[in-house]
Amino acid sequence: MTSWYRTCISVFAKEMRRMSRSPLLFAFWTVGLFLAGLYFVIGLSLSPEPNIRIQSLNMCLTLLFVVPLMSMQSFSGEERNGTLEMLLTFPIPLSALIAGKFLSLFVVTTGLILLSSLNVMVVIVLGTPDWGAILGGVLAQIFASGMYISAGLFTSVSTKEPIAAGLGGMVLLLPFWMLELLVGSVESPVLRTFLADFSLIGHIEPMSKGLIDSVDILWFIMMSALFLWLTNLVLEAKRWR
Amino acid sequence: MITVTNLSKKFGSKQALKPVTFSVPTGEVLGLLGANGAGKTTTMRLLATILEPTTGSIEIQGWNIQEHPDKIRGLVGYLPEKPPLYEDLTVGDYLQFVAEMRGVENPKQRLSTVLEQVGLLGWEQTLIKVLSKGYRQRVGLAQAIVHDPAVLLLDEPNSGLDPSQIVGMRQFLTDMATERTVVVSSHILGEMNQLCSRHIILNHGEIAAQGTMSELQESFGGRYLEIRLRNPNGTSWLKTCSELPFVQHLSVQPSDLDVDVESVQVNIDSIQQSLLIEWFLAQELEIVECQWTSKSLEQIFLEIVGAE
Repeated sequence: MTSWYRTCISVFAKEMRRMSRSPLLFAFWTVGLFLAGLYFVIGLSLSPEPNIRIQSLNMCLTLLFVVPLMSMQSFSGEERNGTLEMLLTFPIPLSALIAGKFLSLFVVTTGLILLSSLNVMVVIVLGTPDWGAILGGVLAQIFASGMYISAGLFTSVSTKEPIAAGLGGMVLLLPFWMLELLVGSVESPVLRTFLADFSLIGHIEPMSKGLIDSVDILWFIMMSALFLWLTNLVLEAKRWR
Repeated sequence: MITVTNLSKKFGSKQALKPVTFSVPTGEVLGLLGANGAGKTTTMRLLATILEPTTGSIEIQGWNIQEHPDKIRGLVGYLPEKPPLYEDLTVGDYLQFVAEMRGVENPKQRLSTVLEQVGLLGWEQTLIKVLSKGYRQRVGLAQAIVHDPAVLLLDEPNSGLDPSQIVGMRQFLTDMATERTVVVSSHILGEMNQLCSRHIILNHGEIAAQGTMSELQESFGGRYLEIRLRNPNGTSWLKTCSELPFVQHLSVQPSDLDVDVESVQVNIDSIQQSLLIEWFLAQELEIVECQWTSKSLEQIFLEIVGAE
């Protein structure tokens, strides 16, 4: 069997080569950077002190919609193209295949987040930057996008239709965002704590204020791992039908 | 070496492949024939570890497919009917990726050998999406052999190839088969006859016939005498002839070329050929042509598939 590491790197390199020739990547970055700029300007006009907090929060929501569109082709596109069948006949660990795909999307998304965070230069010029909030905001976007990519890979492996995979990713993630609306209206403290634990905003907001808690980071890692594990389960079931 | 024992596959309630048993030794090119839906592709996909058998077992080079699927995956090269290609990669990048995934040591060196074998040297930097169908087929073939597999499974390998490419493919597969086991599935029966040393004809998910061409011909009527006769007097001879003690089976068809000539196919022993000819001459029938012949693969195939 081909080694895990070698498989992961080969898949990552292949995905990066394909994405570099795809107009989707440039559309993703263009739209992402435009919206990040827009959020930043709105943030500047609303806050007395220049910061990127509003940009970070809004980018977390924007990525929730955009990342599934980037990841939708990952497996469903391969299945439609007939290449998934070929991948499944390779003597490779399927977890390495998933990891390679995850890594390539993660690099592309992190690239967008880091580029959009260059807006912080304006904050440096106009006022005193809150470095904790800046770092927390960037980390929140990076960890949230990791979770979005994993969920996107899971919906992509679950259907042959890329559009259904993209929409499915959004539908899967949106309740995690909306949970925050329910948290305030629930009377039962046990249920409230449970809902708060699964609320995306509940984990993003403290980070965007500069409160970087290892529990929040761990939550994002656990959710990403859960979706990746589910992706692996579905893929394993497809390998040996 | 492939050994298949009581292999079957069910999709829900549909039995795509009824229990089949066959083996393919190293050095043989086996042809899988059958109408659409006969079970050819299902058999190929089972051998390629894409599908899990419902019953039965497959052994490749002594390894059981259920117990060691990853070992088998390393031994088998598979070209499906539609080559699995990434349109937005170059030929070189694509084959490099496949070689790495197959765990090929020194992929660059191996690639130059494979590219030469399939006639793609100089095409490494070309994007797959701009290639013609024939060249895509070559890239698909290259991915199937990049790891130098012991078993090569090819589903419709001649699809989209022009006549000269078909001849090239035949030579290539014949060369490949000297040290490997090759299984080919195709509808082009004339090509299969030239390429394959043995055939399995599938019908409704089961083996309807198998063997070398001469074994199939023997099973389906063996050699027969084909005589073209002219009957100037319009003599009624057919019934009397079919009752002759040495005539086993006789059929008459009008000739395609001459309305006065009838083409007669007779199953008799070769030593009784002269008796039959003497009998025809006695009936004042004029023998235009007389030759020993056998059924073609196409005739045998149609006899099986058309018999339902």
